[in-house]
Amino acid sequence: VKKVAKSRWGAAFVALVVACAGKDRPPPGELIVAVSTDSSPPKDIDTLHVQVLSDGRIQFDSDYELGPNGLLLPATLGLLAGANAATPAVIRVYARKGGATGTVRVLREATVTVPEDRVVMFRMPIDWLCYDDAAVSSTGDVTDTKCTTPGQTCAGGQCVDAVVDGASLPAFSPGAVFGGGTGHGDGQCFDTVACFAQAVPATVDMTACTIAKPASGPINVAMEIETGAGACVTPSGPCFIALEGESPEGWQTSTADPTTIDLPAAVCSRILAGKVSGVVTASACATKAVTTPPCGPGSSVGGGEVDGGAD
Amino acid sequence: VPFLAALLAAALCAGGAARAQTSQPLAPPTRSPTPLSDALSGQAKEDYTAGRLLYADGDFGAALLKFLGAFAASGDVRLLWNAAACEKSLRHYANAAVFVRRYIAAGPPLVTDDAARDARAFLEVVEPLTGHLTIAANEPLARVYLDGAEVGATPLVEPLTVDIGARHVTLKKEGFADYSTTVQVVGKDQIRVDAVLVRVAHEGRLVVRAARGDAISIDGTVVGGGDWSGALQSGSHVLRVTAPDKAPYQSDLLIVDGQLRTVDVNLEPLSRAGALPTWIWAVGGAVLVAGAATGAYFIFKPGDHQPAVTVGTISPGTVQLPLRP
Repeated sequence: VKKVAKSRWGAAFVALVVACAGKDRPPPGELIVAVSTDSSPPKDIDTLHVQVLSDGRIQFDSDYELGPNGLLLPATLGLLAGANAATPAVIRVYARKGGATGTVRVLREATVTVPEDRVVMFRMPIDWLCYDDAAVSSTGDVTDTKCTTPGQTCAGGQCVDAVVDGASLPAFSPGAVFGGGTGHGDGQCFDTVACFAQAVPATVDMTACTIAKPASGPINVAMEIETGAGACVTPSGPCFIALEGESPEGWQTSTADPTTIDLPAAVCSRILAGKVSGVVTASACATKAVTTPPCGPGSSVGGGEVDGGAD
Repeated sequence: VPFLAALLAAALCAGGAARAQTSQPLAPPTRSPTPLSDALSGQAKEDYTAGRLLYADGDFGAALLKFLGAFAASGDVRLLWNAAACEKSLRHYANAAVFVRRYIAAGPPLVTDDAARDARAFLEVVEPLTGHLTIAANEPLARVYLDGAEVGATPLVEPLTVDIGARHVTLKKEGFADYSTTVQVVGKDQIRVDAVLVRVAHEGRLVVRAARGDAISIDGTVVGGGDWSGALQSGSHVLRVTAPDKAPYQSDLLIVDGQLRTVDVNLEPLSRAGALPTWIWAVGGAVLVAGAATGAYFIFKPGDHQPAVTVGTISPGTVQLPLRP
């Protein structure tokens, strides 16, 4: 009887708590910017600059050292909805090599609106295929030298629309950014070195920028980087950067010919430029997905593989 | 000074204004064919007559007003000589010199050569009793006051003639702090005042004391971490303090001119922020026992609850976009 009475008091109290707590204001709308990279910080890039502009003003502007002693990637930043949901925020993320005043390697920009009532996720990958397409202008501004059309930015080596409607973005889930983890060292990363240890060179059709699709097994495709960027098996190479599977910024099964894989056009242009020595395929591990960031000393997900490459 | 005063009296006497020193009616030092008393009419004549009576009675300030009134009505520059006599009697030598210069500048026929010569002799006498003050400022259209009287606005086109002694200069302009200075005029000297008007800052100071590593943002812009202090424009501001894995703090602050506001922030770990403190359970239980449900409402007052936000791993975790359209 004593137990029942006690539980009734408890239930009443809990009900009161729930009733009162239910009057909390709803959380504000938020856009979670997820910055990731397919290369290997701090070897390839060692400084990240994040800038947020809105209403014609800089709302946020900061540099971060990348690596085990600094910011690990992927990383997230929440933009809280302002007074006017229709007012977009301009997000500029660029990475340098050589510290805060070093060489700008890559710039990614987006103009997004933040939903008033949802927490959404917006990915801003720092793609190696966009490296060296950014520069510092005479006025000190970091500009895109490839995607010079206003409203465009580089993604997967191509110029794409930088304007994004926040309402169209998916709900934020930490696991979708951090390999199923929370961003604090847990989760599953993509071990590029292990996956491509037994890689098979692929023949690239330079006209269509395609390769033959392996007949079986989980498919992984990587670029072998001539310049030493990415995950390196030994300091002298080879070094790989994995492409995300079935992704607009990675590789996709050709819709015209399902036996071939379409590569980003920038892969072929970089082969021609001598920056990529070849394309390899492997089936040793699950297909690289956008939700599984690479392992490495600069990764916020899982453990890091030995990486002795130099850029 | 007695010597200079004697000289001044002599000059005024020589100019025909000797009667201005006595109870006799004033007359200008001109040899005008038509005396002032005959040349003036209407209001000008009334003011002139009143001025003479007041001067004779020793009320030089009132007499000055009457003579200037008569001058305004008639335009007869001979009345400026009378005004100069009043200023001289008030020991406003600089003002007297100003009137005399205007009198000389009018020239014939109202100011004859003899009268002009006498007037110049007067100026020579008062010269040691005055100085020239040049006033410049870093801001245009600042009103300039000399000994409390407005004398113009910056930039002043020419130096001011001022009496010897301590002269108080003030410049005023809206949005700027008043500028004031006192200069000592010895006589015959050229003095320059370069006024620097400083814009009034409508601001107060904010001190935020948070834990090391906490990111502090004001109105959506990150301004620092840990402890921060700085000047803010007076008015309403949004303070936000964030740190990874901690519940963010956000508050609207009113900053008042010249006042210091200190805010201590102690962020709670996210895991604890969502939980209710032990004391709340204890108090809540007591309230329930007492059957006071309304009391519980105040314990969990909705306005005190901070909405949860998703905090990113990039410090400061969140950026507040502008809250004011």
